[in-house]
Amino acid sequence: MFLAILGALFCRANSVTLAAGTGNEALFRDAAQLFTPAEIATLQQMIGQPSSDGAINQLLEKKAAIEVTINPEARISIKRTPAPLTMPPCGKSGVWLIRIVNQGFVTAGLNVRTIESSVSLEPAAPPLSGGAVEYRLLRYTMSEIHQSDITLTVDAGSATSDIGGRAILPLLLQCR
Amino acid sequence: MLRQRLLLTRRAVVLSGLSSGALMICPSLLSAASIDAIEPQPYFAQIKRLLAALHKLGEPTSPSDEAKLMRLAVNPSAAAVMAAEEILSKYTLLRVRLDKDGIGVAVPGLAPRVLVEQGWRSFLVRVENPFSLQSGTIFTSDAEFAKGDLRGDRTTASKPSLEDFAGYGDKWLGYAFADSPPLSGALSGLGVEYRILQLFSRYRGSRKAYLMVHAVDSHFAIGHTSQSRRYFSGGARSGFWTTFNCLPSQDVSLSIRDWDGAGCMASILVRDEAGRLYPEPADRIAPDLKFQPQVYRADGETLRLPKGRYSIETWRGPEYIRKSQDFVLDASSTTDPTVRVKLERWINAPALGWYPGDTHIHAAGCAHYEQPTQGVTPETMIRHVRGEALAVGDVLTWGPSYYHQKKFFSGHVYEPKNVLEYPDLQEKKNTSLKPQATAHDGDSMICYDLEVSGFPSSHSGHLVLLRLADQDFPGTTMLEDWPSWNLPILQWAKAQGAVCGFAHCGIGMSVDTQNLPNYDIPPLDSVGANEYIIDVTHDVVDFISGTEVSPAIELNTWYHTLNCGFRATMVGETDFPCLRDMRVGMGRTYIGLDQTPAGDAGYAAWVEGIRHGRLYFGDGRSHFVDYRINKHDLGGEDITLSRPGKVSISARIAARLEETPSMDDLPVWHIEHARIGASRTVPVEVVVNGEPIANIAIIADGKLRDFSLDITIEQSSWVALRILPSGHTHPIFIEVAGKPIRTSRRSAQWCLDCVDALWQIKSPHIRLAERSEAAAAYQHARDIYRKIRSECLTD
Repeated sequence: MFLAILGALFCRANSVTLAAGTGNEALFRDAAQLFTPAEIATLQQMIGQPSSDGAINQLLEKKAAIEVTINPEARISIKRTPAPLTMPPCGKSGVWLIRIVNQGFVTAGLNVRTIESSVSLEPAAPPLSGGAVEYRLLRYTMSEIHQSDITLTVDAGSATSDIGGRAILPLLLQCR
Repeated sequence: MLRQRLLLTRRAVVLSGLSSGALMICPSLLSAASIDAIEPQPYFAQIKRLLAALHKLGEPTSPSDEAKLMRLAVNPSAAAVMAAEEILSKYTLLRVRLDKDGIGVAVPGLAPRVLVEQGWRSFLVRVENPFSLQSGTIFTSDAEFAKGDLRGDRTTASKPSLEDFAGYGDKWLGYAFADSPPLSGALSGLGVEYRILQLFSRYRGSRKAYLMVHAVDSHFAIGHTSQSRRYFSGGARSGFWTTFNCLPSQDVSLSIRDWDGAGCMASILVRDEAGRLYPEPADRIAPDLKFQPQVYRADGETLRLPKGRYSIETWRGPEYIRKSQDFVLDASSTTDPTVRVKLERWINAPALGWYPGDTHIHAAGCAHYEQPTQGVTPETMIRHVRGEALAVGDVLTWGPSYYHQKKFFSGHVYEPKNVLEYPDLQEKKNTSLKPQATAHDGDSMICYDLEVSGFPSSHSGHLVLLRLADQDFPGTTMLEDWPSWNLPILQWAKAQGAVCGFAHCGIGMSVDTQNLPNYDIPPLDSVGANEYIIDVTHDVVDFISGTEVSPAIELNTWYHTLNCGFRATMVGETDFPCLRDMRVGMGRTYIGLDQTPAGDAGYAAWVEGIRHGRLYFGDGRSHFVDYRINKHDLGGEDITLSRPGKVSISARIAARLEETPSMDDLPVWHIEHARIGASRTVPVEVVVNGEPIANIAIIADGKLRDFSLDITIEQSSWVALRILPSGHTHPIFIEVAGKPIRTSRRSAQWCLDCVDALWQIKSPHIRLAERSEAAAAYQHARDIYRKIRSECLTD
């Protein structure tokens, strides 16, 4: 059921889209970790209702622990939001929802990387649509059971990372 | 040995704690358990960020301590953590342990309690966080003022007022926790981590304060004061009293003389023996910007410094030799100490008739000015333009802060007054900085114009519109009302006599080759040249801009359109402080003029020079003077040949490499990348129709050298000189047998393919009501490129 919801969201108008790699069902399944059954029910109700993009955005925004901003000059920065950063059980993969505020109409692929070996990332997302707000799922797997400090970097092609260190985000991770 | 060192450290902590009485409150702070429980990998990851942040704040640890910490970080272990703890202890002002509610119990660290009158100092705060709180931290004291009153990130962007200081009373201790990248505003949840606490003293002498640190909700900002007071007055007195020695500071006069002995504005970078920057980045008030290490001062102005030894680095843009001098301010200094600066040019391009300008600088927007986005005033911008010896600075209003900044647009050169943005605040800080006029002020001008960025059409590239008379598109009241593609805007701007181009042409144009020219179709997925390829066929584009990314990316589009016979110029820009923030004029354009540009007429002449192509551009470290072919000047009439034949190129070229190679933190466009091996030579290339046909090395010692070469021209062509990635001339055009330039079938095909790709990518962002008109304009471009392709005689 949940897969259907996310798929439907992906097909909606440009103003709010939640995208994952086409056919990446595991990614969609993991995304269910982020929502309560009640929230899933709410999403179900909103699908297909006219003018529900705003409400969907509000719900998703509360779950997005990471926000990427592409400013009008196409400089890309990344930061934590107040939403909790979920941690999966040790050895299992998890997902984070990333909110992308795209003021630069950028239609490139969004690259989120880390050089640390303690975690692997699978962005597996299609290129940005150029819409004002989009969401992406970032799937990760932690190989360490200890606390691990990783640094995410974000870009959308060469020379797009914001200056001033704003395109990096350190995170402290520990699997459950 | 490690054990012994640790015991010594603990003993020192005990002594500090006993002297303050804090250990009577919280003996658990002495426990070694917290060190044993520290995870080495995340501990050292945060230490590396801490060191980087201290550099950024202009207060690094000693080089030897930094080297030791970086070595320890290579193999994180419990022993390495203990060794690092000992090193960091001497920089630590407070050691605090948080309970589950975020209430801290603090004991003193070993950092010397030294502050600076009217200045800032950074200290470490060691936070023991057994409950893994992911919170912000607040500092409270009987002496502190409300959070952030003097923080640079607010004062550079917003207008502080004396109301902010109303609560001063007897308070004398300002504070801020550093929270800019690579740090964050919140604790990570690690068992032990460090935060950087910056403290400001209003006064000199011995001052006593009670210090505490607690955790608060990381998104808690407004209302801090009341919570701070609650902690302080609610009985939770879990800190300690300590006494600071606040060093006296004083204003130091600056005598800044240009090459001719006359006073001028220059870039001044001041560090003390410990590597600290002055004025401290924590407390930069416009015109000083916290994201730059340097400040701009005019002859006769001042800097406030405490007693000490300083290294002072001065320069005035890439035509000057960077110089460094020592300065000592001690008890024996006169009552009016003066730093004397004598600037030295290695080339004087304006004296040779070439006037540098930067067509893309901003006074607002991008994260540097984000709290809020009001930005800075023309009085600040002109200091930066003068300090980099630019003749012209185009200050472009754009989406962020559009409605505030557009009030500075007048359609005329702006004549800033010699005033400070915040004289009341400067006075409150006891700073006697008073702006001074200099003999060279008239060499520089700024004009407010427009970058169409953050507008509905910006998906198709950002327009730079220079010398506008009217800044409001007809029928619009908000920028959201503007057209959703660029051609109508260009036509409107051209109709009022503007000189129009596209900004940062290489963004979103990356390809997997460094070949120039290349025939790969770029992704066109961002805000680069894009619609330029269509609009140049409508005769409404005067230039495209670059020097921000690789030449192979930036020049490729320009070369292909030149090969098709179009005459748009290419200019250097900085896009300050969005793409580059070190200084204005990092990318610059030199326009050849018969007289020094001044006032509206001078600005018009300089901008017209862009349109006519009497220019070269780059990083300002390569200069192409008197570039001629068969005695025809650059930017003049075309050369006409009745048949293919030889032509004679001549120029005087100067370039300057430092004597010793250094690749530290160089931008993409910098002459150092052109150095041939370890020599002090660089290659000058002659480019005909996009292909380099000759490559001659010249000594890059700053001296003007004659350059001449005869080449054979087979067909109507364009010929330019370049030293990549440092400088490039506009071409001189040669017409053979009355034919237009049609030099490459592949170039025409590349343009044609880009038109199709652009339509596919960009048309969904064009409003439906405008799409049919846009489709017709794109079709016009296709027809033109097909015709050109059919007229080309060669591939």
